[in-house]
Amino acid sequence: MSERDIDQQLVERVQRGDKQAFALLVSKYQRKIERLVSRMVRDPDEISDITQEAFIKAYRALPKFRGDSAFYTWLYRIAINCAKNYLAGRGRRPYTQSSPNAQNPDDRETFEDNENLSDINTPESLLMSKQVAETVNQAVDDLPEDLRTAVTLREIEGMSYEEIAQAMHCPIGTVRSRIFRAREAIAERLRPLLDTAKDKRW
Amino acid sequence: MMKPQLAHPAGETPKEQLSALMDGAIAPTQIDAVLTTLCARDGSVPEDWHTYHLIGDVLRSTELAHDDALTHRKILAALRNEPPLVAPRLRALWQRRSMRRQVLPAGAALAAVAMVGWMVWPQLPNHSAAPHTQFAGSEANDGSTLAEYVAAHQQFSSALTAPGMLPLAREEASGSVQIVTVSATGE
Repeated sequence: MSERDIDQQLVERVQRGDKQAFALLVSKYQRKIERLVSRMVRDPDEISDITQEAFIKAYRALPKFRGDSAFYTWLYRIAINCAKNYLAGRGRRPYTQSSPNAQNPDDRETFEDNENLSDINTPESLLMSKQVAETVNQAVDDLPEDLRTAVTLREIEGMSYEEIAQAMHCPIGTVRSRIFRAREAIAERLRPLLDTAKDKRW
Repeated sequence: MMKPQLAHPAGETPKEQLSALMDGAIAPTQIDAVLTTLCARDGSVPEDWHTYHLIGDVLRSTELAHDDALTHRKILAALRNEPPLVAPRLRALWQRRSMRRQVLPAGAALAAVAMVGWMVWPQLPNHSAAPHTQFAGSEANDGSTLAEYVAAHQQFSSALTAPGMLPLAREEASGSVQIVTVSATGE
């Protein structure tokens, strides 16, 4: 069982008529899709529209998805096609030829490019993004060391619970508990910020 | 294969289950129940699901701290206007099952009627000389051959029948052969 298997379980639920399962996939992948599209399109409104179009196209095409590739690989491909079609329709070329994650979506997202970040953000949302990033990073710094190590090995290094247990010389149950407590401690710091943002923008 | 330690510990909260689920570190038997809980809402996403994934994204790249609630809302609104899916593969499976549900019972009923007909037909008052009973009757004309056949049949069939049921082939006075099934405990 892996993260990819969980996606596949959600996909199969959608294929059986459960739209809510697709909402969970939207929540999980929307940020990555927006970033991907922002590599090809400048305008924030257009990025938003293309992202929406990509998800709805993916939803409609999902009956044909057989799970031969990972769901996110398939979703990335749809998003890239949506962005290309959009640009072709407007007689434009992508503003940048460098789309590292578009070329290799299986890579872990460690690529930093603050120029692109500024393109997809209004000053207000840029401030919000900055606050979210600072809050998360500060919360991680404030974690007890064993929690910080566990969540870092999982989220940044992508290690399995078994591998983390070996690295930290502790039982798998302890890894499971540490990762949960780390997430929950960070989430507690983040919630007031997210609630404020929701009140403002929804 | 899931190790026993990864199985859902007793008393775990839904948030703990969610955290393990996100990492694929949950017992296969638990997945369906946890996903069903997560999918129980109508048109919105559980906040913990959203927040935990946001945290993971931000840890991997501060670029992903851009959490566009407006676009998210637009996508969910568009999704609400979409019909629920029925995948062709599943549809084909359902059709096959449906066919099986309709055709198999019909076939079984037809077979039962044919069998009963075959058994009852010779005994009907005006049909004792029907073609296949004629065959049995013609065999019966040779008394010695028939007796040998019936003896062999009784010996052989008693060894093969299910306990409690004993099919017997009897020679009737008329010379025709009738097969009856009686309970072994009965006679």
